Amino acid sequence: MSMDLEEQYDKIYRYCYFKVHQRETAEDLTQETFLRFLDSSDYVNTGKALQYLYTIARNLCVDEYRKNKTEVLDKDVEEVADNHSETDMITRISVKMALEKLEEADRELLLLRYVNEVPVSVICKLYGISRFAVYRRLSQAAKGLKSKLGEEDFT
Amino acid sequence: MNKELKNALKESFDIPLPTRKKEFFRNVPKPSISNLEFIVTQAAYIRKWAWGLSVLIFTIAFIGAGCLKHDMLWCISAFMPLLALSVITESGRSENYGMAEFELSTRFSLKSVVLARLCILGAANFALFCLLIPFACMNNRTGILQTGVCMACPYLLTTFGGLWAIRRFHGKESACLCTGIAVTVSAVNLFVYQSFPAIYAGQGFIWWITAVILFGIGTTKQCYQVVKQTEEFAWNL
Repeated sequence: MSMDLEEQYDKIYRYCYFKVHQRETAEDLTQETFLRFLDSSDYVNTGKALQYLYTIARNLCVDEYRKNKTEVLDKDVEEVADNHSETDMITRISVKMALEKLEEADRELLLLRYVNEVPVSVICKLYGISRFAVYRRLSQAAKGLKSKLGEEDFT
Repeated sequence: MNKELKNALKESFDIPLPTRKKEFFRNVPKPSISNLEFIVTQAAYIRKWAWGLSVLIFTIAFIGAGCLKHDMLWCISAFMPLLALSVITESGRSENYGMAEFELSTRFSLKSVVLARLCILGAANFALFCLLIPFACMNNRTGILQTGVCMACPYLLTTFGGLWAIRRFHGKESACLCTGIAVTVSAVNLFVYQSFPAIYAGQGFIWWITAVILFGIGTTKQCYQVVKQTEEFAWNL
């Protein structure tokens, strides 16, 4: 599978940031992910590259969480609160608040599928569940998000 | 999930930009690739018609000799120059399409790419040769060695002439010249077989062997020169 590594860097960074909520740590984990990925040439040309990349990132994030069990604060969130119109900002905040009410696993699934646009087949292998289960969980997560938001805003 | 919600979701996962991305990709070690993997990747770039021609020749030989019980030596040896043409055009393809300099600037040098493709096609043609010899031997009195020599001679002559042409001429001129050489060799082969069958019958076998050795040496020399010439492109960049 041919893959744009620079594009994937942003996506893996976003995934790590979602997990650790700290810019520096997220970037360190992203770089470590890519170094380990490039170090293991077996997966590079076998068509499982994306799955492997996310597996490394997830394992590193879990290790990082175990190392620093204290809850980390979302320090950098203010830094991105620029270049948005007022309406966009309100929408973004309301979606963000709705997301926070969801379970962590549902949030992660929504991030992978709709933000990072990871194919369903890769998500299946990443979680070790069937395609049907992924669709069901995605549908439940989306339904949960919509109910938290109020259906009338996004129909 | 509708598009608006998807966009809102993307926005809500907005994060501070990474600061060390460019520096990381500048310094990161690139993944290595083994020789075998490299050859496999190059095999995928060889044009389909080169493989299609091999399949066509094999099918004709199989139907003609195996099913219809005809003498197919003349037909198979007439196809050999066209098989050689597939090798020649592949070696000069990047130059024909003005891609030689571009390929030189990429991960693998043009020399490696040309060499890999020549090796792949050479090995594939050799395998096809081995498969065709039994069919060419059927329904006539020629032995295996003699059949092999009769098939190798037009192949090597075309390869020798074609490789010489792509070194001397460039662009579409060389492609036309190679096709001309292949067609001429094929036609001469057919003419000789029909008009002077005694040449194929065994009396002139020593001349066939001499010709195969000479064309074999010539072809090897031309291959070496072609690969060497691709190195010279680097100096013209």
